[in-house]
Order: sequence, then C-alpha cells, then structure tokens
Amino acid sequence: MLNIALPKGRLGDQVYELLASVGYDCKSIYEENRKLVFENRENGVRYLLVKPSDVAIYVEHHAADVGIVGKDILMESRPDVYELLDLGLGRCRMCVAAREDYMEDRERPVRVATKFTNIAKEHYAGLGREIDIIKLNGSIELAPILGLSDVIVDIVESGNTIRENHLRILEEFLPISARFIANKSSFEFKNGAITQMAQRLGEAVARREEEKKKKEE
Amino acid sequence: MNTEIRGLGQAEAATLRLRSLYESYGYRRYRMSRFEEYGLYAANKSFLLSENVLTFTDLDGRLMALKPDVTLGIAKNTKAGRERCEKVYYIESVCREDRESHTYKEISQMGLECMGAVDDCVTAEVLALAARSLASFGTDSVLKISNMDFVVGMLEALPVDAAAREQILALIRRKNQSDLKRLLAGLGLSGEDQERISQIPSLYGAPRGTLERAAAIAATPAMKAAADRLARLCGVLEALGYGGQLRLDFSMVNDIEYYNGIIFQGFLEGLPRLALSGGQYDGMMAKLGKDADAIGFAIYLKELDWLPKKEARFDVDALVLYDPQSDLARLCRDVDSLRRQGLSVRVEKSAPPDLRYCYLYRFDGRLSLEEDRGNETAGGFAGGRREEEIGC
Repeated sequence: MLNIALPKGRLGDQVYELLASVGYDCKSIYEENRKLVFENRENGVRYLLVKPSDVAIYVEHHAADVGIVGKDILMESRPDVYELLDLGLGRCRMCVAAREDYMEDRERPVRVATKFTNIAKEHYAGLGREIDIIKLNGSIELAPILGLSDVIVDIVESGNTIRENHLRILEEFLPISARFIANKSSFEFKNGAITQMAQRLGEAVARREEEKKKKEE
Repeated sequence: MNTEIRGLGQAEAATLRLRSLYESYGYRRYRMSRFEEYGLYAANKSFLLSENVLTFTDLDGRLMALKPDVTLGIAKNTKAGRERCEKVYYIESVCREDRESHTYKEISQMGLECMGAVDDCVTAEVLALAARSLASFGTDSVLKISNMDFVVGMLEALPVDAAAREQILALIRRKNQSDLKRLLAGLGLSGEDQERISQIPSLYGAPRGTLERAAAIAATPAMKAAADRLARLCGVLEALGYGGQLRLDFSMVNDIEYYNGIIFQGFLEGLPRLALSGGQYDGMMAKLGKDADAIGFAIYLKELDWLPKKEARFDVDALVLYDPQSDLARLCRDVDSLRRQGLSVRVEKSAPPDLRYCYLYRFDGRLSLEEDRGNETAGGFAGGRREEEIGC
C-alpha cells in the first residue's frame, strides 16, 4: 500500500485527476465528508489530504511514501526527499515586484516582504545585495503600498493581483510547478510501486504536453 | 547476533551487539574528548552535516566546540600511514543542530573508521561490516552503494565550470531528472552527453542490471574503472551472502572535496531516514595533511528509536506481595527461583497503584499464584516464558 500525501485544494484536485487517469483512482475521495484518509485496496493506494505546505513534512517523516508539492515549498523548506518528477501542473513563477513608481535606493539594504524568506535570502545573496527581510503570511501585495517594504518576493500566476494593486514585476527568477516527491526510505523498500507510479505519471505528463503542443500549432 | 536483553532500548542493545561484532574483526574502541578545538570544524565545515557548532571559550582562551562529529577528530589524531593501518570503532555523543526544533541536541553515534592503505580488501571488509550491522537488527535492510568516481569522472570530462558542476550534482542527488534535463539543455552540451548525464538519477537497482546500464554509458577510462571496482566489491558481498540487501545507486554523490570512491548508505525498514552512512574520505585525510586513505561509517543510534517494537504490556512479569511476619529467608529464596526462571519480579508489601504486572503472587510462608493477567503470555513481557514452562 502506497501512502500518498495530496495537497488540499485546486492543485490537489488536478493531481488526483491525473493519478486516477493512470490507474490510481479512489472513488470515495469524491464523497462529501470531512474524512482526510481515503483508501483503495485494489490498486494499493491510500490518499492523505493535507495542507499543501505540510505535504513535504509528511513525506520526509515517512507518514506518506510519496506526495505532490509545489517547487516553491521544496525550495523554501529544503526537505530531504527525492524529487522524482515535474508534473507540470500549477505552473507559476517566483517574482520580485514593487510599486509602479519604485526607484531602488542603492545606499541602503532593500526591504523585502515575503512568505518565502529562504528563497528571497538566497536570491539576493546570489546578486550580492544586502536585504532586510519582513516575513508575512498573506496579503503580501499590501506591504509596498503601505511602505512596509520596498519590494515583495512572491508567487505570481496570472499577474492580475499584482496589476490590480498597482505593482509591477521587476524580475522573474524561479519557475514553479508541482513535483512528485518520495521519502528516501520508502524509495528503497517500495521501489517497485513508486517507480511504476512515477513512470505512469511521467507518461501521462508527456502525453498532455504533446496534446498541448498540437493544439498550439 | 540477535541479542535480546531485557530492559534495553534498541540503541543500547545495538551498541552491545555491534561492539562485539567490530571487536571480532579486530577493531579497537576509540575514545575521544567531549571538546575539540573549534578550528578543526571551522576549517572543514562542509564535511559536517550542519555548519552550526556549539562553541565556548575555555579558561585558557582557546575557542572550543562540543564535538559535532567524530570522524574529523579521529582523522586529525591518527598515526596511520601507508605502512600502518588503524582500525577503530567508537560510541560517542555528538552535539548537533536539530533542524526541526532549531535547537542543539546531544545524540549518540556509533561507527567505525579504517585509516591507512585502503585497498579493495579493506573496503570489502568495511562494506561487509556495514551489511552485517544492518542485518543484525532482524528487519529488512538495504545497503546502497555507489562509486563516486563514476559520476565525478563523467563530470570532469565535460566542458562545464565548477558552479555548473555543483548544480548538476545537486539535481543528481535529489534524483530530479526533470530539472536536470532543463539545466543540461541550457549548458550547451552535446546531445550524447546530455542523454548520458540525465540517466544518472535513475541508475539504481540490483547490482547486475545496474552495472550493465552503467557500463553502457561509461565513456571514459575513469568511469569504466569505477564501474569495474564496484562490480568486484559487489561480487565479494554477494559471495558473503549479502546480495539480497544490496542496491547500487549512482545518484549518491557526497561532497567531492572530502569524499571519493566507494560511498554507501544503509536503510532499515520502518525507519523514516537512513540508519547508516559511510564512505571513503581520502580527500579529507589529504586536507588534514595525512599520508593515508580512509573509509568508515556511522550508525545513527537516535534513529533506531523509530524501529517498530513489541509493546511491553507489563512493567514487570511478576509482583510478589508478602506478609512482613513471614519467613523472609524463604521469601527471598522463592523469589530468586522465579527470577532464575527468567521472570522479572518486584517484591512489595502492597501493590503499587501504577505498576503493570502479569502475575500476582502472594507469600505467606509459601508462594502462591493469585492472578494471571497474561492471556497471550509470550507477547506480554519481553523475553518472558509461558506459565507452564515456568512451572508455577
């Protein structure tokens, strides 16, 4: 039996559809209830519905054998897991944004508001630029508007929230998408099941990309 | 090998078992001080699991550290050279940062080191000891081996700078084939090179098949030699009966500044993380100015607490309640006879309220069984025996 940590929400729904399409369905997951664990003994899967930011924790600590998690969370928390596949779902990018009229003052450190403190630190360290970090947990776009920070480092999907708050993107530096991850110990003891799941998912992702390309042409 | 000693935790029992195993191979116990000069660790930070080291200033003004690692200390002090091999094992406490709680924790570590002229015979011995150590836990185990020279040899033949090489290695270690392919495409490497490198993360499995796949992508003499060496060592381990627990994984690559050649990791079923880690660290010996090669491994005793264990339902097997007026000499003799039969026995005037026991005896001149709470007696107490066997 493979324990799969699935993120609750839109990404989780997309990922479940993908897994179900390659033979890992679990019909009871559609039932309207507050259950967090769903199991299908026939195809050997048990889904655990968890908060997206907790997926990697469940997998790293062996509560789940595999999981699906955003690259942003992997980069921020650096869990000790294998990153077996890019599922290409939930695509967005990590950006630096500021007020439309922002002019950088090079005489002092940049004040950066973000939920992703490690990603921001690493990014600016790579640029050799000193920063002051302001850790926020939500509504990050408010920070430059209220003068709390000079810039924000945050995930941007369509860019609508940025525009509607009169901010502009200064830099895009990290493409984000959902990743299929595995616990290192499970990889050893359930290798057959995990490799097969990764392979089937990989084929499904390749088929989807192929169809997308054809449509674009 | 599966010594069960009543009352011992997994880590304590393992320590006893493995000591005797290592001694039987002629390894001698190495003891080291709790403190070391901080300079040793500061100069070799990337050898440590975490850069954070707990330091203090000693009374003579030297900056000291509570040792975060044992191998560095042994390597610094060793007298081993090309002509003289040193084989030691250790059981030491190390002080490390705990990533979860973000505090320092003292953890027990056990391991062994072999320093001197490390040839294939020594390497095979250390690998066999790692395999035997894992097997001694009586649960399914995996010993995963790689020869770092294979991947390092491949990267050295490529026209890429050190920064790109480090990025490639980081993705290989995480088995991140998707991002690795993207990175390689951006580095302007030939299609053949890209294809070869992107296969490394999945170069994993039982020795024979994996070595065949490795041979197919071995483009340089260094890579071929690395694969051949691995094949030789696997042959020895298979001949010793460890083939079933053996895997090869070419995506394992340690810090190339310190490590080289054979590296390995051990897993025990039921543990969330690796239980054993080791390898050849000739690079570190050279950095410390030693004219010797070295290989060794560490067992993370703290991790062993995660091994599933049989729940002990009772604190003691038997509780004996006695009347203070009765014949004490006979009481002691009768209780001793119970202990000689393998039971743990607690003697009290009245039953302690929080004590869980399997059998209740009363002594009023003679010992009589009053209560038996063990319906599945054997599972009820570790190492205990059934009542009928005990004969009470």
